[in-house]
Amino acid sequence: MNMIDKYVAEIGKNLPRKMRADIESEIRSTLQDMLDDRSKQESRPVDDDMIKAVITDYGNPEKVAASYMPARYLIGPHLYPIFMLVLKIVFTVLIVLGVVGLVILASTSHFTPQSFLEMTGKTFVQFYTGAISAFGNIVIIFAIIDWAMRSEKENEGQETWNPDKLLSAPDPDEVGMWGPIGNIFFSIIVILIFNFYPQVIGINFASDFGWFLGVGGYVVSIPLLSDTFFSYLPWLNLLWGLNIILNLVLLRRRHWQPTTRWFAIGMELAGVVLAIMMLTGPSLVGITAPELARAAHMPIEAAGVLVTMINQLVTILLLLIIILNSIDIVKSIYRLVRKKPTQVIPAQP
Amino acid sequence: MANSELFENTILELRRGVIVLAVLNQLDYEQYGYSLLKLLADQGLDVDQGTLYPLLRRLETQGLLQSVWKIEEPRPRRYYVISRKGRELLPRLNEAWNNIVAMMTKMVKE
Repeated sequence: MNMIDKYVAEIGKNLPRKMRADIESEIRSTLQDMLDDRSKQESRPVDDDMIKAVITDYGNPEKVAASYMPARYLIGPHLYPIFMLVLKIVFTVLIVLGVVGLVILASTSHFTPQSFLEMTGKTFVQFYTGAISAFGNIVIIFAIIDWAMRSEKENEGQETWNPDKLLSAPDPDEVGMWGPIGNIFFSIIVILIFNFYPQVIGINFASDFGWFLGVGGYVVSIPLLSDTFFSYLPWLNLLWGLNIILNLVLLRRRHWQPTTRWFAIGMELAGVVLAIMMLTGPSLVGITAPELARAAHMPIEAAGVLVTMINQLVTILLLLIIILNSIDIVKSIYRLVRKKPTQVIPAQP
Repeated sequence: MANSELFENTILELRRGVIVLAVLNQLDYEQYGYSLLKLLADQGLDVDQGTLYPLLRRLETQGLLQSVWKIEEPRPRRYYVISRKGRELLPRLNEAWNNIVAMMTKMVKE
């Protein structure tokens, strides 16, 4: 392989496959034209030095390849401000959680300079891993949203914008940008929590003296949810996964269509069925009053009241899901029926 | 940024804006990339390959140019020529350009 072939192949590496061969042939042909031209001008045959000079003139292979393609990015300028906002919020929450965790840990343990240094080190490591993981997940989510919105962005500006739109009644089938983005975020977060960090949904004890809900377990962690709940997890994952797909489609189309409406109705119906099964089946709460009383050093009566409250909260949540989903189903069916064209029957003479 | 660099960058941006018009006006007859490059350079418009070849492809994608590979001596070459759509658009572009020149001539202080 001579120097020109190597140079052209280097450019080709950075080009999309479908246009690679054509561009490579054109560049090769141009380089040979340039060499012929230079050879004539300098009245000497083509040699390696001349090839090197021509290639140098043509430029860095990566830059040459880049000039054939539109700018490539993971998160475009359209989403970048909201991406930064989400990052700032998440990082602030992580910092606050870290500081609160450290304060609780310090106030409930025997304090020595060495233990304080240890706690600070642990908190820092937890913050660092949490921050890296949060950053990675947020980037992935935004990259997917950006990809989903790309076709919509390409059409942007082609329609003429009319200020009358500001006054016209909102189209019930129009889909905003933030609704689907919020739904995608919510689904991804619940999938991550229930599948990878189920201990977060539990009562975590910082030490023998203090306890708090929700924030990472330092010493003892009692899971709040029972095995029965986790037996439903594959179905919940399926619903959350389908919800992500539905919202990605809505982000691309920015409009409800009969197919997406029926799909959403099917999902909401499945959600209602699942919630009814959870409501009528064995308890979803795994923690018992004696367990809580023993671990939290509290009277059994107080633990009993707390466990009952948690059970009632779960029941209320399930009922809310059933009611809200049912309302959504009725609304969606109404919109589907309303969309049918009205038949005009001509008056009989 | 030094003044000379600023000057070079501004000139580069100005020239970039006129290359499309220059190329469309030169492609009444078919040309391959390198011959077009020299044709433009002979008339005082130096364009580098990294700008011209991607531009030719973009104009072809937009339907303003058409191209064909020709197997000829000494090597195969891709020839470009203005398309029907390009020919229809060109007079309007040229007129718009003349208006810009007239407007700028009035605006630019000697």
